[in-house]
Amino acid sequence: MQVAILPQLTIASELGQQWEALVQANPAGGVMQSLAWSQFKQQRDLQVVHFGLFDAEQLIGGMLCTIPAQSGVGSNLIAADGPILPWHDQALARQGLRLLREAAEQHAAEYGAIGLRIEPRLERPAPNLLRDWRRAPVDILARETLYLDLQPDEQSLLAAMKPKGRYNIRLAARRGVTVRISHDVADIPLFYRLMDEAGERDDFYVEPIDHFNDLLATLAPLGHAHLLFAEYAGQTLGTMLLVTYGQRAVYQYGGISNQLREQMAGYALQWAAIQHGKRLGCRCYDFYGFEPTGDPHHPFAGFSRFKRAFGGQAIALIGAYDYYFTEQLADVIIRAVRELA
Amino acid sequence: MTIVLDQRSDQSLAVYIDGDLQFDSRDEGVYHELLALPALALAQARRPKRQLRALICGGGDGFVARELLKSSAIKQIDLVDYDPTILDLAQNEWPELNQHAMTNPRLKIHICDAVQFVDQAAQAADEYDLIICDFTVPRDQVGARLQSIDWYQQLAYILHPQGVIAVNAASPSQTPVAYWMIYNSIRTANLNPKPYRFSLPSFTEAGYGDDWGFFVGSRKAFRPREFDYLPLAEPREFLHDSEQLKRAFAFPSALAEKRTTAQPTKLASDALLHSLFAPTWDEASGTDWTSLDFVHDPAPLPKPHTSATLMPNAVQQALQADQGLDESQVFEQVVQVMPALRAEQTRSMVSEFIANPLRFLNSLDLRRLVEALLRRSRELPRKLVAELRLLRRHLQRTWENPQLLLSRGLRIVSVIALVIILANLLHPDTTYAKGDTSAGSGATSSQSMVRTNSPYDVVQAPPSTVEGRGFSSGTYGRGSVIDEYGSAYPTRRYRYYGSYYGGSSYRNYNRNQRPSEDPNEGDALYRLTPETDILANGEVVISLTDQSYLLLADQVMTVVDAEDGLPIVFLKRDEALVWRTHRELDRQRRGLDGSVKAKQDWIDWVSWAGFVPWRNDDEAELNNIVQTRGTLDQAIKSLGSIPANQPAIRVAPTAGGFQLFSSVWMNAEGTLAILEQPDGSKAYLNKTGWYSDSGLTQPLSEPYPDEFRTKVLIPFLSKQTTEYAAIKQRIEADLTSVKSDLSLLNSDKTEYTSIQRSYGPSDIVEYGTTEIRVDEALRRTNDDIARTEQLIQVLNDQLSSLPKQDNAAKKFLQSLK
Repeated sequence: MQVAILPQLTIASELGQQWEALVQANPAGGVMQSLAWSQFKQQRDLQVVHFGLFDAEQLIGGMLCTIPAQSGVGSNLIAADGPILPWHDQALARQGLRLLREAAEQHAAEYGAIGLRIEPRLERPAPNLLRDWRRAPVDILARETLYLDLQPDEQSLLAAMKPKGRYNIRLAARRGVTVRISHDVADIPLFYRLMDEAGERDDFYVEPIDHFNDLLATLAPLGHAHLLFAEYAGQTLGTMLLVTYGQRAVYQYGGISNQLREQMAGYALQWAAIQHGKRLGCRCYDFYGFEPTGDPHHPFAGFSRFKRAFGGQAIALIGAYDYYFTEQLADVIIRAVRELA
Repeated sequence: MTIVLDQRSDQSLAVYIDGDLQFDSRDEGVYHELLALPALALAQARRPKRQLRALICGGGDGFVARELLKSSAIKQIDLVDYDPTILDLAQNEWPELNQHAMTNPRLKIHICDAVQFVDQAAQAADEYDLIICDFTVPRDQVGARLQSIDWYQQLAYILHPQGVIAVNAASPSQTPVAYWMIYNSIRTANLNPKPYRFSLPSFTEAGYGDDWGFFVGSRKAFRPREFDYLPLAEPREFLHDSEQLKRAFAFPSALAEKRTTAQPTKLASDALLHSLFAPTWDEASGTDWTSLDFVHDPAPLPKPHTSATLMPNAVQQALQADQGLDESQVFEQVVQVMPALRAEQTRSMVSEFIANPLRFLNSLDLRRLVEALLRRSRELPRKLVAELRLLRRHLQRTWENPQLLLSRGLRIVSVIALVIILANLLHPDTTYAKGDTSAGSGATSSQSMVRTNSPYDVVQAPPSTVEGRGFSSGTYGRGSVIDEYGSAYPTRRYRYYGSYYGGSSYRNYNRNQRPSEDPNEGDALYRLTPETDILANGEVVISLTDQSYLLLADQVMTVVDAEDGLPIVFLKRDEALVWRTHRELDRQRRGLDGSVKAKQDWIDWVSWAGFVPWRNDDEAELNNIVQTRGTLDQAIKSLGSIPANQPAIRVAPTAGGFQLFSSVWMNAEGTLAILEQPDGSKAYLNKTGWYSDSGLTQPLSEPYPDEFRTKVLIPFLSKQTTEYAAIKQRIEADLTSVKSDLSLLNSDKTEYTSIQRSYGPSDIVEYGTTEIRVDEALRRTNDDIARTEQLIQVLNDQLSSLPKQDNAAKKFLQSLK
């Protein structure tokens, strides 16, 4: 096996298609390893480095990493939803990860990297081959989440929900809440106003508006990003940004207005997103953040009560893991110490 | 560059570039008239007969050009903008807004980098009478060079000695240091700037501060009288006359004082960015200092900041300060001063992010790093090398808890943690990370049981002014409830019969005779704490269960049926609760006073301008805050007499009993509830009856309040036991997960031990993705085992600290059903 830094691949190219197929087939992978996501991140002024893992000249895995351009201090190469490795085969995965890590370390200086962070969607416990890695202080993905299997038909999905979920979905429909799906960046300001309102109310940070604009502009033409709006009597009551990629649909962002909450717009949105994901051939719907036990003090407590109504299976992922490049890190620390002297 | 167009239903248009509001068609005229017209008038007044050459740097939207083209004295304008998209939009989409400026024959458009253009102009010995810099606020080093000394020196070179420059800067009140840094950079380039500012509703709404600041400057310093009778070009929509303009040059003196220490910046400096990313929200209103009082600013000019540093300036100072060797204090200091490193980060985001530095230290192999640093000890100061050796000794024994390391007083540990923190802060994805940020397996449950009836016991300073939009929302008082920060939440709805609760009228309530009138019904107006609401009439209510709430009044507390508004039981006032509630009401009332004053000052300050179109909204918001403040007065009045000193928390009337909420307990055995009645006597209640003695032999003559059982106790205990069960389940799930980690580690240990026994300590084995000597693998595995065992200990401690009343509550709940 060997690792090479790949040029910027287009989705139409042969290698690009091979990469996309590998990512989509890998259950530990996700949209953040896609070429579309890398385009989006470049648009956001991040450098993207694509390491390809080859076996006898055949692309078998790799990782798309992002790192801030010209960071000065040094930052981490981050491969969220990755790397793409045959995780089911410990020996192969170990060898592949080792080669990827070594390649990243070898090229660290070029990108101003002091470490590598990976975050494959593997379920806990962490495999033994991560023994020389450390739990990262931050997880990019929602580490505890809820997956809904989209393979059963709609009636079975409804039947498997909690009665409250089923009831509220029907209640929203009866009351006349409809869901509009849009791929138009002109809808981003409306989406953002609702997100902002929810962020202020529920005390979470919302990325700047151009983040969402770039995300939709890059991913929507490829069929990977969808804006959903719950509408009622001429008002927009809630919104969601749904990302569909490969086998998975992810409820990436969403917000409900303070107005007319009794219309159950949130339920209408989730159900429309589930149906849309199913239509697009996704096999799994990720609610993106879920606390399974009902612990009232957990940061996810509020929305987990809502998500629980849709059924599904609680998933605990291993989270992000860091590997610092000792020499590069020592360089930066020595520079910092000298500034203080 | 990302451009977002927000075409609103009222046909107004807002344009965002890279997330920053570029303009809002509702008030862009204010901004562009104020930026362009004073400089144009000054240039014209100085050389009245001359046809002027103007340069616009940035300003691709065409609005500054529109303003300059109002004057026939303008012979030619060079407009330099590097972004063809915005130029294209200006020409083809917004010709009505910029009045076809882009196709005016006097305007020449150059699509290129402004620095390059100015360089070439300097080489060609070009000269301009007027230069307007209309750049967006810098978000990165490339943008910051357009506010550096070097840039202004270049501009001074191509500006006629009597020519005038106008500069779009930053908010003087929100980012005062940055604003005055730009001022001092212009001063250093000998362009003699005069600062001025005004309020721009759309910028304020977008969170850019209550005021917005500009500079106008010239190589030949302005005399104050030059600002009298300025020939301002026409037509004008917002700017009235010179007198009005002169008021824009006034600042609060405390704000102006900051110019004495704000460093001007050279090309390579990143200090301006750090200041821009660290808003301070100073007071905007105030007019006791004006730059029109002098020709040359007498304030000292600080030395330039010259180069980018790895550690932000403020952090360096905090680390260098001599504070003995208490690392925890050093770290606290650093957390307080750490600036945002990216435009999209806010101070509170950064503070939250680095609140727990241990998780950063936990993410690296400290021992390996210390060895690497010691190999390069020649590059390090001697004192730190000694520290590193000490650290190595600590680390060699066994795995050391980073908490202990931080408390050992080693400055090097702080530096290491900071470098890791900075590396994380720099990556934009990490501050918006969606996962929880716990170290280890995710044992974050804090288990701090919040009693449902207590206003927070934490006394904090009130917010200096409301920030949320709740008070200014058109739906104030309808459908949403607002807290002290102005944040709006979905409201809870209450039904009540006010006449039963106040004074001694509760005595007249006849449980057997339902009132003929309907209950009052209303939304809460104000949220005092997550459980405590203030109704529009000033009643203080605390949510107990979905079906019931507790109403505080001057003589009694009433448990009210939320469905029909009828009293379920009357209870003796819990004076400790009343005292805490009063303290919280008073604190938040003072906070609102501050907001009222700030808002009033603000309205006074902007009212002279006359061009603030949303003054009505400001006044509506002020009225709403004043009204809310009045409601809090009423709330305090409704509480009646307040104990002078904090009353002691009451003990349970039976040995080992537990308080459920104020004036209601459960006995240790979980067989009955004890209610303290208004006259101080106790009532003992079980599923079927209530009694005046704990032996349940003397039934009370009052009818048994069955709603207290069904609507208060059962849902209350159910929620409590469900929550306890969930917390317990959460910790147990974490424990299971950590134990499985431990078992994997132990099997690794067994394997490594057997290899070492068979092949000796130097045999090479796989350790994760590395290959190392088996003795080293064994040592690291032992460290990992120690770390994991510690985590198990923490989780076990959490389990054993769970409230003991859980069993009694479960038992009681069972007996009540």
